[in-house]
Amino acid sequence: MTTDAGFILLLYLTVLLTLGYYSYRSTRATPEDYFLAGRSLGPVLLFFSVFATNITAFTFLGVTGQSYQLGVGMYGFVAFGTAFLTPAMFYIVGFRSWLVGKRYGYMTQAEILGNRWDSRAVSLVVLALTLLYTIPYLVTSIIGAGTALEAITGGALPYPVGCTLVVAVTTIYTSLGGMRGTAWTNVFQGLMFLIVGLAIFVLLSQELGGVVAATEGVLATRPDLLTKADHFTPGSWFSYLLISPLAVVAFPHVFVRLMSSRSTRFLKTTVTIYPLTVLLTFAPAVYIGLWGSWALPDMSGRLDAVFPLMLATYLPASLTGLGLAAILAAIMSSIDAMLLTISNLVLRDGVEPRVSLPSQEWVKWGRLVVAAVALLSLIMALIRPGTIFAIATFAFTGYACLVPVMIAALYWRRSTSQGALAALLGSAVLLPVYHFTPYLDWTLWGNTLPIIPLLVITIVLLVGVSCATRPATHATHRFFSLFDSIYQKKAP
Amino acid sequence: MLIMTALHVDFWTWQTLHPFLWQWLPFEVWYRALLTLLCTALFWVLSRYLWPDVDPVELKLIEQEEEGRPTFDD
Repeated sequence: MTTDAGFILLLYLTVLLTLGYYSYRSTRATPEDYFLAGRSLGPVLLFFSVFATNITAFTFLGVTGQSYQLGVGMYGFVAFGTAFLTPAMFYIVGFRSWLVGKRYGYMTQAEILGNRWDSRAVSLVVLALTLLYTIPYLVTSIIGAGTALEAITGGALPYPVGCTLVVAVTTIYTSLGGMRGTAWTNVFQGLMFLIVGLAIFVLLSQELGGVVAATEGVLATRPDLLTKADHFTPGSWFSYLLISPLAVVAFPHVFVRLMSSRSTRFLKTTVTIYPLTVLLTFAPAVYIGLWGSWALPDMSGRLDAVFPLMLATYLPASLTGLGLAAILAAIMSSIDAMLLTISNLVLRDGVEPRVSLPSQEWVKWGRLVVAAVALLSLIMALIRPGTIFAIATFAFTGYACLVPVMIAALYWRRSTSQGALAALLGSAVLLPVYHFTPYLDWTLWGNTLPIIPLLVITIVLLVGVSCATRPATHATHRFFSLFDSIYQKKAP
Repeated sequence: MLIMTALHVDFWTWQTLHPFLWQWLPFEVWYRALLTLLCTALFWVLSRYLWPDVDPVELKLIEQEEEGRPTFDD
């Protein structure tokens, strides 16, 4: 790593710590202010805190590497679902959740679903499942950070040092600033990877002789990369449309950010501009990978190194430092959200129903739990368990299976706690069977992913058991009288 | 949403390369970019005409109205 790149990295980390410190000074010592920024996020903070949380190192390293191998189809495969279904789910699930959260003071999915069916069991199962899926996802993000830092700095920051550096800085600004701190750092990080990503795309194209010359180079050597015929099947294409975008609204760290919105107007702004920013972030990454297949041949065994090597080969060292900061911005903006949300889930859904403490004590415990989860995740990332990536892959499917239950809670009056429990537990039991054994592979018709049969099973259990049991009338009334009031008063 | 999903799972253009816009945007890229822009337009329409605007003050008013209203259990 050059001095220029090291200086840019240091500057980036210093800005994050400074933003965390100023947020600490403006955060009141109440759980709602610390975990949800007092439900006061305006349009800019809300959009960037949702968007930056959802963009990870995968956008720069994974998408670029896969585009190198699979071509331009990668945009439709991974990004279009994010541009289309993710904001749609922000409306379908996010708006009604925000309404009941604002009206009754709920913060988390476990609280909303537990109160919707008046069932502590539903609340505990949702808490357990969200923790089960989120902690491995957090660990994989830290592993990604350490791996990326080691690769991009050419070993100057070894894996354990990179992991520790990222976790230490993220923990400090997250535990100090809470939601307000992470929202401000997310604005900085989101702008960073949007602007730097576009700048790198433009500068690289110039170095390669222009966008036309670089693309014609690919057309001459690898024409298969310019259509999706040789690399994708309609079955996997459709499955992937569902898995990632459905999972996003069930990510507890994205969900609580939607709950932090000051007004529905800001939720609308986020939904409307989300597809555009997905296009501006993912399309340059796809083209950098595509051009890499022509400019950097023989990288097939090192796909994650395509992006850093394109920078190192064609751009000056200072821009390599900016590229590194952009990758770290994408990684750290997800880690901070997960740390804060796990702390919120543990205290709000796990401890608060049993223990009574003053507001200031909750915030103090919130900071301690952030630090404890960070330390635990760092240890797991340093051990680097071999199965963690497999666990993270099934976590996405698990998150997606929560979505039918969330939709039923907000739209189907006849749904019951027993139906919700059957759906949640059924999918949680079958998920590892699909991912770690071949016993149910016969249900994967046409190369679909396990998400398709699992969603069918979840919906069948939810509907079947709900129809056979009695709904909780008071809890149903609490939710639906609010929705009826809003839609009757505000019908367009 | 069903129409957008159908437009996305475009198996009828699986092998299409042309039209190749400005010699650097193959069909797959500009078609998908166009669909993304269409998403933004659709969400703007949804926000403008179908999604009710609610601010916290109105929620407080609804809360006060609800306090006098009978529930299913009453």
